[in-house]
Amino acid sequence: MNRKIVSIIRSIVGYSWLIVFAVLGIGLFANLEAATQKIGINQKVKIIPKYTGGEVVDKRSKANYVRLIHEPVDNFIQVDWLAEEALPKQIEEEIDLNKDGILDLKVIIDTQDETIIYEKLSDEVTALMKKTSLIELSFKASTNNKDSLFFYKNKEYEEIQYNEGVSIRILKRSL
Amino acid sequence: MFTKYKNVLRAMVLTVPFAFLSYFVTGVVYLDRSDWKHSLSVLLVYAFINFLFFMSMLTRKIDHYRAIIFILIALTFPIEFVLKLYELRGHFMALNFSDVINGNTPFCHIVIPQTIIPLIFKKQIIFPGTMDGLYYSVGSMITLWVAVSLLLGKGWCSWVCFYGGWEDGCSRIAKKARLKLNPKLIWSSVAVLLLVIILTIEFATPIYCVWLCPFKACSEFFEIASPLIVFQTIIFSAIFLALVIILPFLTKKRVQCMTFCPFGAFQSLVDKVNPFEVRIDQKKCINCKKCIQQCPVMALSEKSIERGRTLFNCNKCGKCIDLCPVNALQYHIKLTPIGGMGATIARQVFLYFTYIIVAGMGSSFIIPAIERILLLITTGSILH
Amino acid sequence: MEGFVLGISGGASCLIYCMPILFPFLMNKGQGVRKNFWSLILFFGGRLIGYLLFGMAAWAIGSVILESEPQKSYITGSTYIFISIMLLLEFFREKRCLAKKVGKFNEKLQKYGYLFPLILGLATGLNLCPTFFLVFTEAASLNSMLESVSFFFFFFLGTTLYFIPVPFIGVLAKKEELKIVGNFLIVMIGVYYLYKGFILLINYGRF
Repeated sequence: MNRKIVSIIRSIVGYSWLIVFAVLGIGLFANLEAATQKIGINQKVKIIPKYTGGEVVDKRSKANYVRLIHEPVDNFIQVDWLAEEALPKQIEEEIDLNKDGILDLKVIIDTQDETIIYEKLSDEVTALMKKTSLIELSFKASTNNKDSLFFYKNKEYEEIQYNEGVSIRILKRSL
Repeated sequence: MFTKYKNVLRAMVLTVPFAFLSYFVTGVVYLDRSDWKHSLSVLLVYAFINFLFFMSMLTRKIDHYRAIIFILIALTFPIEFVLKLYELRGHFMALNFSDVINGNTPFCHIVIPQTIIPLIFKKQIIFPGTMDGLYYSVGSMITLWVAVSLLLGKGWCSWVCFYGGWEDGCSRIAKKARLKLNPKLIWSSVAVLLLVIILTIEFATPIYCVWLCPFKACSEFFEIASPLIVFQTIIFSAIFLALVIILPFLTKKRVQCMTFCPFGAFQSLVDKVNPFEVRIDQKKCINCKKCIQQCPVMALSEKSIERGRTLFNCNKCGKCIDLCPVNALQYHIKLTPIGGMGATIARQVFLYFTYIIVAGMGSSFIIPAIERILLLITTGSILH
Repeated sequence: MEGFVLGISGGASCLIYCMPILFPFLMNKGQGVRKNFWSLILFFGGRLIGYLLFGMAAWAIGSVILESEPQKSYITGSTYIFISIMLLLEFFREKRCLAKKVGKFNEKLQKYGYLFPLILGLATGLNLCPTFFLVFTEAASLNSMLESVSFFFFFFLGTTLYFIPVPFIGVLAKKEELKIVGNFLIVMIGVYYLYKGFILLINYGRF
């Protein structure tokens, strides 16, 4: 008798388990996007800053583009130049990376030839990071060539769709 | 004769609810008559999936019809994936580093086990994707994984995975296996899982994706911009040829899934919370060992049959269920009695779940692939 | 005290660097908690010896060794290759091979098997992980060899706290199936360290 009761209880639990999972599973599957928004995964979980470049700490608006400086991540600082339509042919700027009042880096970017010339103005900067370093096991420095420029189209920032963008990653002096 | 008609009627009755549900899942309900290519593609896929379901109900065979749609999804996925990304990013298959920085890298399910520990403890994803808005964004992929894990568990690997059809197909080409594999090899996927978890945390890079994933050969890979990337390209190409094409052909087993895929090993753990499993009715089993010999992932052994269970890596493909001459192997709902009406309910419910999900996956890949082929035929261009 | 605090704060990263070596080693052995505990003691002994040697080196030659990129890479590359060989030997030690020569080699490995955790620990101790540089630089600036050595000793103690749960891997690995996983894992990690070591030796200056 006991065995029969146990068997019935187990069956009830088993089928209940199935029903709950079925309702949840089908509910999620049928409304994938809405469910994702409702659970709030996109707000609670973030991509690691090594790939996103970290939070933007400084935004400067220029004539036809904006310059964003990100917070330091690992041993690099990312700087973006974004334009709603097209980037200017040449971007020439002196940048204070850490807001200490001292200029750290001078860059001259040719957005059409896709080259960069840079000059270290302070010891904060060691070099520019090469593209291929992003996925390799260790960082490699770059000297004055186009391999340090990351060009892309269509980036959204603060709900503005920027058509063109270029980023560089500057290797900071480590401790 | 009467039995034949009874079987057809039974199959039709069972197909009706599926036809109703798949009407919504495949998108027939949203058809736009002005776009005939899309409409035709949707109707073709709808009819085909319902035909497969009907045949599965009629013949009471699972694996044969599962394999057809599984392989078709694997073949059409690269077409839609590669071309869609070309339309979004402007280049074929070769991922460049600007895409990485801009978060334009689609997120695939194999990343989940690599990033699971940072995801749980630090709420971080170690992958250069985007949380939402992009084709294959992180958020929706995680939700899809949760949904399918709740419904199918490790059944993902034989019903949903858009890569698995490659080796499933290759494993079916030869009539006889020319090579035998050591059953202990099923544990190597667990070792790969542990390795990639340890190294992903150490380097904050999805190590399996960067170094090992063979399916970059049919999706996307890094543009060859350095000797290291040449080396990485050689590695994944070699793994694809060896574990996805050649060894499955020689052994008639799904070698990559069984011995290498970290997601498979991870999903075996996740499967513990899924209510479905494959069980052996000891009262019926005649110990013919057909299931042990034929299982494509070597998920059965003499010891496991004695316990009435499959091994941890069973992916619920249904091949052993089809093969068993005495119907001793069945889908089973955990905690319920084995055999009897419960087995019938488990089988039917499981197959409804699987085919609904397959209809959804089919809509994502097969429909757009057919559309593109129609586009190519009518306009000469495969791009929208 | 400062060494101990550095050990506590850097211990997590030490665990991350040592676990790829220790975890498969213990899984491959498939011993119980008590035997694992002794393996761990020997491993720590080797690690301590490595650290004390570096403590002496830190005072003797200062930070010179760290400023030279090729030297750094050669040391690390060599220790990685050594670790790789040790891990692969440990895998073969557990196997029985019919070939006579291999069988004899195996017997020798079996005889000296108890030294493996000690040697592996020493190699791991000589491994130049990021926290290590910090400690080395601090120790190099101290006034006497005794201070330098004791700085490393207390750093070692601080990091050791993180390794306390490790013997319980033995509970997992006693299951035959997980021992098989350990077999595979030790070979994979061994190959990985071999690759890492060769890359560093070939490409000095990339570290």
